[in-house]
Amino acid sequence: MFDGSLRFNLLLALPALILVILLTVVTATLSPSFLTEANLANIATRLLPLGMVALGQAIVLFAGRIDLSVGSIMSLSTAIMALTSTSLGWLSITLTLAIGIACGLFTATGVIMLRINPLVMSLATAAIVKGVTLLILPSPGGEVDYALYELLFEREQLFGLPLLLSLMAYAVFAVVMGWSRFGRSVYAFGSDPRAAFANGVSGVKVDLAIYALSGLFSSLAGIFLSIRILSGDPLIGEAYTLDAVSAAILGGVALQGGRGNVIGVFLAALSLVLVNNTFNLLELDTNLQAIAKGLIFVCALVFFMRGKAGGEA
Amino acid sequence: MNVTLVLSQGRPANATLRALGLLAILLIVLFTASGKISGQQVMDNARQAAPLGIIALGQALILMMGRLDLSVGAAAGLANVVLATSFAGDMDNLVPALALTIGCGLLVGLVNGLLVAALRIPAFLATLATSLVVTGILLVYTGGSPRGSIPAAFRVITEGWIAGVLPWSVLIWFITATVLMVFVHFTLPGRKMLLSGANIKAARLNGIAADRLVILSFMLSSLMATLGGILLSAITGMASIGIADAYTVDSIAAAVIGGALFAGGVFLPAGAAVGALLLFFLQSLLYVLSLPPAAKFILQGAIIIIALALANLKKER
Amino acid sequence: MTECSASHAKPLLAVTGVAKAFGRNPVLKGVSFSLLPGEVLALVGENGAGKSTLMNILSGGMPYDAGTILLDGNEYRPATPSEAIRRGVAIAHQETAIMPDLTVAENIFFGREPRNALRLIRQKQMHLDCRRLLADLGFAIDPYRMGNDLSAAERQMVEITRAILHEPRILVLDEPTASLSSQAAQTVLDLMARLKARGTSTIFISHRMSEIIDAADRAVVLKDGELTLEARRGEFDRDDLIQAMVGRKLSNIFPGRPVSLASRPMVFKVRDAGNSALAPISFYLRRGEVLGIAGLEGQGQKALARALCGASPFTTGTVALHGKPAKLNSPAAAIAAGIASIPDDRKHDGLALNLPIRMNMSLFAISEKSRFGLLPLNAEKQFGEFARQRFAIRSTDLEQPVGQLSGGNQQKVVFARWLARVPEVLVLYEPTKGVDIESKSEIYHLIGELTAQGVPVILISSDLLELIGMSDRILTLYEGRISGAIARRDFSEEAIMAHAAGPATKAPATIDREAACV
Repeated sequence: MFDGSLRFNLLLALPALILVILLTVVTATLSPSFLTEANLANIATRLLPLGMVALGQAIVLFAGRIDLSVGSIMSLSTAIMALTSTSLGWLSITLTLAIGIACGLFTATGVIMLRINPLVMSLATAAIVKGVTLLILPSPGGEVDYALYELLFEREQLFGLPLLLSLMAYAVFAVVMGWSRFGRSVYAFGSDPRAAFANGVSGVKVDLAIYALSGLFSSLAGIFLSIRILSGDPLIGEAYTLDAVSAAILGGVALQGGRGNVIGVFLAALSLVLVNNTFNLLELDTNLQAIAKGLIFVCALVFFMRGKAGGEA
Repeated sequence: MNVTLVLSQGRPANATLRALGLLAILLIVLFTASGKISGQQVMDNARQAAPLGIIALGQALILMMGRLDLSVGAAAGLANVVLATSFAGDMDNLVPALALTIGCGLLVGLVNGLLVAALRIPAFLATLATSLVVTGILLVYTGGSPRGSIPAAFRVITEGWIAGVLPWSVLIWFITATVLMVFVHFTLPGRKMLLSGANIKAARLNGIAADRLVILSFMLSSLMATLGGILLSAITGMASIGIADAYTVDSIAAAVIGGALFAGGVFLPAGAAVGALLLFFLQSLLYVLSLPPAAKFILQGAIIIIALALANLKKER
Repeated sequence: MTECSASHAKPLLAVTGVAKAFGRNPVLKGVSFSLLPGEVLALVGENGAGKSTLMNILSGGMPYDAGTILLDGNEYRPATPSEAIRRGVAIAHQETAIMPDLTVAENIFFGREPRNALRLIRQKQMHLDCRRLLADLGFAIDPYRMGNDLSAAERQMVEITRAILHEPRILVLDEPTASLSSQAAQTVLDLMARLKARGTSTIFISHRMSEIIDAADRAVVLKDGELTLEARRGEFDRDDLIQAMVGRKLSNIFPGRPVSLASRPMVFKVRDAGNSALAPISFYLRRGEVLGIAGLEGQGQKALARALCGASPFTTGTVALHGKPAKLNSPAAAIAAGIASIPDDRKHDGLALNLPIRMNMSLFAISEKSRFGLLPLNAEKQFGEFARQRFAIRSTDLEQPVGQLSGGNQQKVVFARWLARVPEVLVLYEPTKGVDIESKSEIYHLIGELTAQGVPVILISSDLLELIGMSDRILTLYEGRISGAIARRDFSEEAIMAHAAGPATKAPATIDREAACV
């Protein structure tokens, strides 16, 4: 593992790990309800959507791209679930996933064929998706089949389905990105697109794959979220976009691409969920939470990115 | 100074002319749909589009530097709250209210600039973070329901007309655009800023204090956002959080329609102005056609994609 | 393989009338040549002659506009580098194909990594295999090193290894020995010989005449996109090559140099100056003198250029101009001291490509003429017209974006900017890279005029012909320190290489004390 390559370097996860330990210790000391099974299950439940969307963002970042439409796709997914779950049953999940992937491919097409800056293209996709979501579901509502909730969240265990799903997804992709040729081409492309091309990597295929995966994970996150709240909400995903990027950077993924791994991202997502949990348990002003997360984000940026040659928009 | 030289510097670029053409077409469509064409109506629309127009100027400046400023919406919202709170409905507080509002805006710009230039954090992330923190601070400070109000007399800057012909807000917009244009195209520091935006490495090697100019550009962008926020406050007369959230993406769309490119080194204030007008008219068109307000977002995204695709495909040829 | 049978053998590669243009710039104008199996072909030519473009086309990096290429009698038109590799053509680029965040082994085995039953890459096995492969080829590199950590020489070796791993029928080497010491270079030449014995053909680009004469079975010379010479081993010599490359007598390209500068005063003194990348170095410059700085790639040239222009300043030692100390702490300080530095990479460090020529040229011309902070537009226009004529810049007008100009004209725009005021010292770093012969000559004569006015010039270059033609003295850099000094009477490619290759050379090099001017 420790062969020196930054992709395999577990030390990148250290800051996130420290933050997790810190938050756990502080909250456990200050609040007796922290270490209860119910609370820990709650944490695992909240970790699932954020974890999914952060994983998708990390993959996009490995390729040196970014996707700011993840929150909008999440919202859209909750809306589709809320509107079709009762009538289509399990098919609604397939439909939602398909649409999520399509959104990702839309962004990829703009980047590849129209040569639009990936950042801006994903912003544009976000706007369009947001508009579509508000059209089909102007305000929170709809209904998601309770059977799904029963399956996923009813049991309220720490090591229940939510945590297992998160861990599985991360484990699978840790292996795929680190040890498969596909994963390697993604990193190569992010590291230096021209050198990658000279080595036979197709930039087109990489872009299509990563944005499709990001769309997939975003809609997966939205599906889980909609099951938890048993409804749809057209604006619920807004905050998740920044949270996803935050988690990735806090987890040691480099913005310029080619470096980092998903282990740190998992811990970073966990730490963000813990912040939320801490604020709730200690009954602190939720508005302060936004400031706290913003400051964590800035600190992560400064810690990991200070001095790197980042001059582009 | 040689007049022809001055004129050739200020000559509108091809992109601006194209945008003006689109605007003309749209004007025709809009007024055919609603049945009347009058200069008064055009001016009235321009009057309402002024806040976006000014914010778009700031964004265009940042795009000239090859970057994005995603905090303009939050900065406008900050201006709105600070102004209303410090006015507290009393015109006697005019000077301190304006001073405080502008001061806060410049501070946001300074923070952005330092994050980008000194800490070398990519601009879109730095400004995204700032917008989050600013919004958070606003929420905490106001507890979700902001107090204060704008005195009726101040609202003349958005509601009032000069001699019944020219709205005050349009005049302010025009003056701001002219000042920025003169700065970038006719002054030495402005030229240095342009060069820094076009190629920052080359600018540094040529002895230009590029990093300082980057900070200045972000302060100017936040200043524009603050001005826009002040105008918005005069329209609504009160404070509200999140009033300008949509303006961030709108300002990018407007600047991009007007010909701004992400490569940097291009500053087209006239284009950004036309872009803002165009966007405003398109949004009005949505209303006229009785489309739901959500369509506005689809419009934003579509316009950005179309404008950039056209610009890129033209470059290929 | 004897010469007789070689001429009857069927060609492995037959290139006929291949042409390629970038926009309105024709880069290859109908090139034809052939390559036999097991043959070593040297491709020679000036910068901008079309060699890299031709190699890129052959290795699948870009398409060609016209002509035909037959590989083993079948049409050869690779759409991507992967396809070229599948057809048996592999290229070792000069250095651009190393992926910075991958290890040496990951780079070499990219796309062909050994995998286990689950189709997952076997990292450890791969690194072990790599170690063996490198040892086999004679390259001493740790396979776990990261791509961006490698020196120019190591990158070269990794590049070559990667290309060889594909077991190509045609191996294309782009300046394989440019950054290598003589020992390492010999390893590469031996490698080419071993490959030849196995029937693999090699096309290599080189500027080292001695290598070409020794190693090549045939040499082919490109000039301005056309083939000007094709000759077999023994049928050509150095002068033939140079004549074919340059198209005219060398004496016409370079301006004459004064016979002796010994009597001139010393105006620029650098004493024990160094930083993290440069060992303390010392040298002097006389009035109107051209000091050439030579060396293998990556030996400190960039560090020296950056220190002199103030971008990465010296941290020790002193610099004095006309007897007074000069602080070069920043580009602004260096410019204020009168040092004009023309960078090697004009596209990234010198020009704003989408801005008009006028704006790219005028900065120094108008800075001092500005009143109340306003731009003196009149002065800018006047300077633009003056400079366009003076430097013979070929463009449609002053408003044309500089990115549309040819390399030579772009470089002249950079010169125009820096020479708006006569500098105290002119530092040139690869001043004619990617510049056509015509513009090159114009630039050389321009430098000659400047030196006649008394301006001392530091010429950092990897172009040996340029160094020999323009310099009054040459210093060589090796690992960030001065390794040799050569007086004009001793100028030769061999002498420069001997000093540049550092301590591990066959013949001991003696430093000419007068030339060192220390």
